Amino acid sequence: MPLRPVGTLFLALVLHHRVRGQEGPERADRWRFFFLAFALGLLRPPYQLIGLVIFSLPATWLRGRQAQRFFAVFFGILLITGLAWSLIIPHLFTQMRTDVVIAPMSQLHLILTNPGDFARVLWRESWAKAPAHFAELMGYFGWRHLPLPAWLAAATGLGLILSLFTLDLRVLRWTWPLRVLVLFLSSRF
Amino acid sequence: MASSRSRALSLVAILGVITEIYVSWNALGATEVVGLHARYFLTFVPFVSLGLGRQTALGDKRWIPGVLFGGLTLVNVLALGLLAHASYP
Repeated sequence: MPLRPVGTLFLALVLHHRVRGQEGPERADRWRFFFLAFALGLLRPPYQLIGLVIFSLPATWLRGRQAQRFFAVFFGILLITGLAWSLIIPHLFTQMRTDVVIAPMSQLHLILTNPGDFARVLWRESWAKAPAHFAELMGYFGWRHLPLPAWLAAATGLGLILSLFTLDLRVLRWTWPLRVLVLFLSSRF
Repeated sequence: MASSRSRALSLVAILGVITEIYVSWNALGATEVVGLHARYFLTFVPFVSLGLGRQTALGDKRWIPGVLFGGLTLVNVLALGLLAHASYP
């Protein structure tokens, strides 16, 4: 399943409802989200995690029994599709890594039995290496292995930071600052 | 409320992506995460932005969005030009 169309469609739908400030999902909205949960389930790991973005829907969508049912069905479809897909296509997780032995279940077991060691790994990646990841996010075209010149990456980063400080998120509307932010994002995808 | 929810979501997403790559792509007991690319976080950027964004005095200056819009358009065009040059030299 192609990542960009599915991911972009899902993100656009969530952002659309966030901006619109609708009270809750209508029947057609539910079906759109369920279909996208199915499509997201067919993506390569770790892109199924994009589904978490559904929690960015307006707060009114998250309350009540109907909302619980809606989220349960959404994540049910996502999980079942993801698991079924990885069982149907053997070695989906490990097919491209031939230099080391990959054992996801044993790795999970190791994490659960030695949480301290894994916490150190998480800390290093999420905090100590954060500047390097941010620089890569701003100025590196992944599969082309093409780094942007440092000044261009710095200009992009500065644009993002400045646009964040001009947004009024109390009432999210399609204002010019928000359009600027979306313009920035469009180039990163 | 919505902002703190976005921040919590961002944290869960970042840790989730790292964990997923560690489990599915790394040798047993590896001490660092190999194969983690910043592009995996791209899809979460809009929602991290929603969590971090706040209006400051900058938001009152009407010329700033115009300058940002023009600047980012220029940066995008330059970046796409570099990409095209690298792909079709």
